[in-house]
Amino acid sequence: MGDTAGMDPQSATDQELVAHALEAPQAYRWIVERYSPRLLRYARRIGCRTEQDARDVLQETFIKAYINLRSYDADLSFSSWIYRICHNEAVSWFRKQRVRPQPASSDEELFALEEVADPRAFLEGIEQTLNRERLTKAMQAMREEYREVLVLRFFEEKSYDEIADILYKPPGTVATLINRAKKQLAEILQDSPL
Amino acid sequence: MNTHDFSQDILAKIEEQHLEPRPRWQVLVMRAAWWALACVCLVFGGLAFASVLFFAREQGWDAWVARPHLATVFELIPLLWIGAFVLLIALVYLDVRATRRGYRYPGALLVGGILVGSALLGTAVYGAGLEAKPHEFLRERLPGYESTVPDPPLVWHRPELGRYAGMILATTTEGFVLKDVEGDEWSVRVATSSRWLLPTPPAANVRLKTLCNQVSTTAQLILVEARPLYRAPRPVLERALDRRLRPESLREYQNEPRRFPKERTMPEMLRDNR
Repeated sequence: MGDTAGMDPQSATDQELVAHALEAPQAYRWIVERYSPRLLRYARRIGCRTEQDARDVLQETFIKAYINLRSYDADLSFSSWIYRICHNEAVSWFRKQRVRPQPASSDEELFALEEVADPRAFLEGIEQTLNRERLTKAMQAMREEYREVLVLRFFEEKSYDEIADILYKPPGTVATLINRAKKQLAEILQDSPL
Repeated sequence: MNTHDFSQDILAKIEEQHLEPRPRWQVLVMRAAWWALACVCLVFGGLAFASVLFFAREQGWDAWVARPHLATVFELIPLLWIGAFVLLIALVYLDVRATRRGYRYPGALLVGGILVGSALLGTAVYGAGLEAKPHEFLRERLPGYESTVPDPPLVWHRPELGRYAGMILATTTEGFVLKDVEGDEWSVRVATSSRWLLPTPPAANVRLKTLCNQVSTTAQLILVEARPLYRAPRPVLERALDRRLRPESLREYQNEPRRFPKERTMPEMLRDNR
């Protein structure tokens, strides 16, 4: 019993977990366990080079999320809310460390095409034959703001509205950024040797 | 990564640092504070806009007609107020962007809305006849403001451009004697082509601003156009002008026999205006 009070944490909604964590702090671990794997991958995709760096960012993310748990409102999806905190913490971390956000080249799993939910949309305008190594190198070489939106759209499977909520930008701007990001990706792939 | 261990680490850190979720009332106060700040900046933006209208109306439009040039705009509408307006608009924009849903509005729409809001507010202040109040308030209370943003008559007064502001000391058969805001006296001839746009005919103690042509190198002017010094009564600003015009000199003038002002050469006038 303890931190669940009869609730099944696996099937509970995010809002139910939040409400429960506010009553019983130990229940916060269910939120951490639900989101830590995907946020870890997200942090690495947007530029944390090592797993340790990503864990540091993640720790700050969950601490901050806990402190601000009462500011979460149900009109925003919890996923978008916590992704936003993770994004902001990653950006702060890069600034503090004075490093350029760049995903590690060694981890080709981060940008495996198999991870993309809608590969046709992702590859529209880009060559259809793409191996992991080329894609990873191309994603590394992209501008940060373009890589961010591509990661959120195609690897994290977020909608335009969710990306707008995460990045604190108007939805129209998100659409423009995604178009530009795909153009840049196509150019980088065209210039890179096969 | 072992998610269970990681979550235990997080909980341990929360307990170790005695962390707690921020109270809901604090969250609501912070949200309200952003909106309150945006509203305050919008109101001040409206006052800045009203001040811009005040300066534009008091002298800008007339001077623009006399010399339509972009430089005239910046000469006659103080950069301080234009800068304040732009800065306040930027602050409102940033405040709204920082609110819960403010980021969703397209930038151009947001800026346009803020500009329209400020302009409407400023126009309402102007319509209520309060457009000079911000300038008067700062003039009386902020050290250094007066030297940075002179009153409209002082800005209008540019003898080298044929613009004179001041007070009629006395009327003459040909026109009147004008004492300008710098203390110089001029004999002004009213010609048949002169435009007199004041509600009353020339008389002593009337305050006005003029466009004149200078006769050769003398202190004689031919009136082109005369307008009231202010569009509406401005007691605070006119009291400040009184200190410059020193009305006791009017009484001195009336008590002494009429004499023609001393003629000054152009080099003397240019030297004194420097």
